[in-house]
Amino acid sequence: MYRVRVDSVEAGYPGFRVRADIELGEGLNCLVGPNGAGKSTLIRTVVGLLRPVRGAVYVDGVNVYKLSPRSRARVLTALLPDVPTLHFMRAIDVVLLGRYPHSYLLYRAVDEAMRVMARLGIGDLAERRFAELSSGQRQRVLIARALMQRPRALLVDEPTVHLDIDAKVHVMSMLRELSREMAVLVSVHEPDIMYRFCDTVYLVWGGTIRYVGPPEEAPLTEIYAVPLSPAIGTLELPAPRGDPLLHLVPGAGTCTPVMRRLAAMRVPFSVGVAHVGDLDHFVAAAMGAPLVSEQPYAEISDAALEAALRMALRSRAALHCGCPFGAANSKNLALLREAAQRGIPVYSLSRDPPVGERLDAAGLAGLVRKLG
Amino acid sequence: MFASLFLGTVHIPPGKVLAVLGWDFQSVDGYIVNGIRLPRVLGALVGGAALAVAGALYQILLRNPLADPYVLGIANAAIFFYGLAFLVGIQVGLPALAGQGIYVSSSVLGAAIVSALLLALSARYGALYVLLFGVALGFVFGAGTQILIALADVMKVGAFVLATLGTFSGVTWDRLLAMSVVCLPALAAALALSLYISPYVLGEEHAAVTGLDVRAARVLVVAVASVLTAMVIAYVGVVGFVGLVGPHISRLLLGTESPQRLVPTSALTGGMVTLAADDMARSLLPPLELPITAVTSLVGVPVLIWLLTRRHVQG
Repeated sequence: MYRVRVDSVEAGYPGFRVRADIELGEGLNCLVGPNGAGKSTLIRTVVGLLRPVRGAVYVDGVNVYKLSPRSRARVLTALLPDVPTLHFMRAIDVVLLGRYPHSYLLYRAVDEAMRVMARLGIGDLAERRFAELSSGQRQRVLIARALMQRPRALLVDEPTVHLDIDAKVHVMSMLRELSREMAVLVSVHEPDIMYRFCDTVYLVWGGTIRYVGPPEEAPLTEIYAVPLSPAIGTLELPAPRGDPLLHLVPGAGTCTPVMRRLAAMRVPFSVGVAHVGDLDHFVAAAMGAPLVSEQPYAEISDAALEAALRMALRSRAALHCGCPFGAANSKNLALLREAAQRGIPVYSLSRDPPVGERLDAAGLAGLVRKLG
Repeated sequence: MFASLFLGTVHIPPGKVLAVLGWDFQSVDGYIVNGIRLPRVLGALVGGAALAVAGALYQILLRNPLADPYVLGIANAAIFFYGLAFLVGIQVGLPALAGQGIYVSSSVLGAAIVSALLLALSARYGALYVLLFGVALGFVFGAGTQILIALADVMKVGAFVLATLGTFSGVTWDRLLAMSVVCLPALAAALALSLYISPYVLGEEHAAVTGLDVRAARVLVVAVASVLTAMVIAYVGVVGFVGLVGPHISRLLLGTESPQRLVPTSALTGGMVTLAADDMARSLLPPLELPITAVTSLVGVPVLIWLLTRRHVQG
C-alpha cells in the first residue's frame, strides 16, 4: 500500500488558514466538516492546485510539490466537484485525457481506456457524448479518467453532491473499492454517507483537523446544530420546543415516523416509556424530546410509569403509535388507560386499538389541527 | 483552389491556365497565373490557416467560443504598432525581413506586448478576465490608431488604410515567402502544441490535475497565436472573422472540441474560407476589389448561423 503523508501542511489564503498533519490510512479516508471549514482548500492544496503556505505532501517518501505537473499527475490526482462543460467530446475522449501524464499520443490508449470503463461498468457509454450523460455517469467517467493516470493517491472533493441516492451509493462503493489499490481521500459532508462508507474520518473544523478516527466516534454533535445519532447514522430534526401537544407511547420503532412528521410540522411532543436500544429511543434521544426511558427488555418500572403519566397528563392528547403490548411493555397500556380515565383523549395508530380511538397515519395532521 | 486560379479581371481559358501553371512567367497569361494569381491563392490559404489556428488556440485557451485575435485586442495592437512604424516612422525591431520587414517586426512586437500583458493578467486573475482585459485593450489600441491617423500626413493615411484594410491582392512571391517563413513553422508549432494542451478542454483545474503545466501552456499558446496574427496583419492587413468562424466550422462539422483535432482542421477550414472569400472579393464587382473582411463577414455569418441552428435542431 502507498504511504501518503500530509506533513504539517498549512493551506489557505489571506484571511483563511487551515492546517493538516495526517497520514492516510487503509480503506476509505474521509475529510468531514461543515461548509467553509476548508475541506476543498485542503484537497486542492494537497493535489497542488493551490500553493501551500508551508508544509509538504509525501507519497512514498517523495515530496510531490517538487515534481513537475506531469510527474505529479502520475503520483496523485483529484476529482473536482465542478463538472467540465464539454459540448462534443465523447465519454471515451474524456477518459483518454487521463493518459496525458504518460503519453501525448492519447489515442494509442483506447484499449486501456475501454478496459477501465468496462471495469467501472460504463463500457457501454464510451461513444456517448459526455454532455448527454447523467451526473452519476459523468462522475464515473471522471473516475475512469483519474484511473487512467494510474495514481498512487486519489483525492476526491464532494463526489456525491448532485447525485441521487442510487448514484451516491454507487460512486461511494466504487471509491471504497479503489481504496484497496490506492490511497483515497474523499471529502464528504453528508453524515449518512460518512457513517456507511468511511473507514477513517478526519474532522476539519476551526482551521485544523479536530479528530482522526472511526466515524462512529466523530464528535459531529459539537459541530452541527442538527442532531445526529451515530447508531442510526442519519440526521434528525431537533424536537420542537414548547409545551408538548401530544404524548407518544412508543415501542419497536413505531413512533419514529410519527416523531419525524411532528418535528417537521414543528409540533412539540413528549415520549415514554421507551426502552433503551429501541429505534424510537434512539430517535427521541437524538432529537432531544422529553423522554422517559427503561432498561432494554426490562419490565417497565413503576417509577418510569409514573413519570410518563405525568407527561401524558400535561399534554392535550396521548397517541399510541401501534406497538403491540407484551410482558415488557404492558405498563404502557396501563398508562394509556389511566390517561384516558383522567380525561386525556387517547388515539391509537394500531389497526385494532386496545384503547382509545383509531387513527390512521394520514390523520395525524388533522389531529394536530384539531388539538392545536 | 484551382477554380481560384481561373478567376480574375483578365479572362484566361481554363486550358490555358493549366498549360502555363507552374513554369511560364514570360507570357502575359503565364505571368498573370503564376506571378499574380498563384501567390495570391497560396497567400490566402496560408493567411487563412494562420488566422483560424490563432482563433482556435485562443478559443481553447479561454474556453470561450467568442475569442479570436480581434476580440482580444491583439490584432488592434499589431495595427497600432504597424501604424506607428508606417505613419510616424517610429520603428521598432530589426529591418531584416523583405520589404515589409520593419512593419512586420513592429506588428509582431505590438502583438507580443499585448499578449505578455494579457498573460500577466491571466496568471493573476484567471482566464476569464483575459477576455475582458483583451476587449478593453483592443479599444485602447484602436483609439491609439485613430489618433495616429488624425495626426498623420493625409497621403500616408490613405496608404495605411489600404494596407490594413485586408486584401490578398498585394501578395507577391516575395511577400508570400517572407510570410510563410514565419507562418509555416508557427503552424507546425501549433500542431505540436495541440497535442501538448489536450487536457485544456476540461478547464484549467481539471487540466492541472491531469498533468498539464497550465502556465507553460498559456505562454506557448499566446506566443504562437500572436505571431500568427501579427504576421497576417503585417502582410495582408485586417482579415476579420476567419479566426472566429474557421474553428467554429471545424467544431460543428466534425463534432469535436479536442485541440488535437480542432487545430489542424481549423487550418484547413480557415484556408478554404479565406480563399473562397478572396475569390468573391475580386469577382463580385470586377474590376473593383472588395475588402476581404466585408466578404468574410457577409458570407461567414450566415454560414455560421446555419451551422449553429442546425446543431441546435439536432439537439
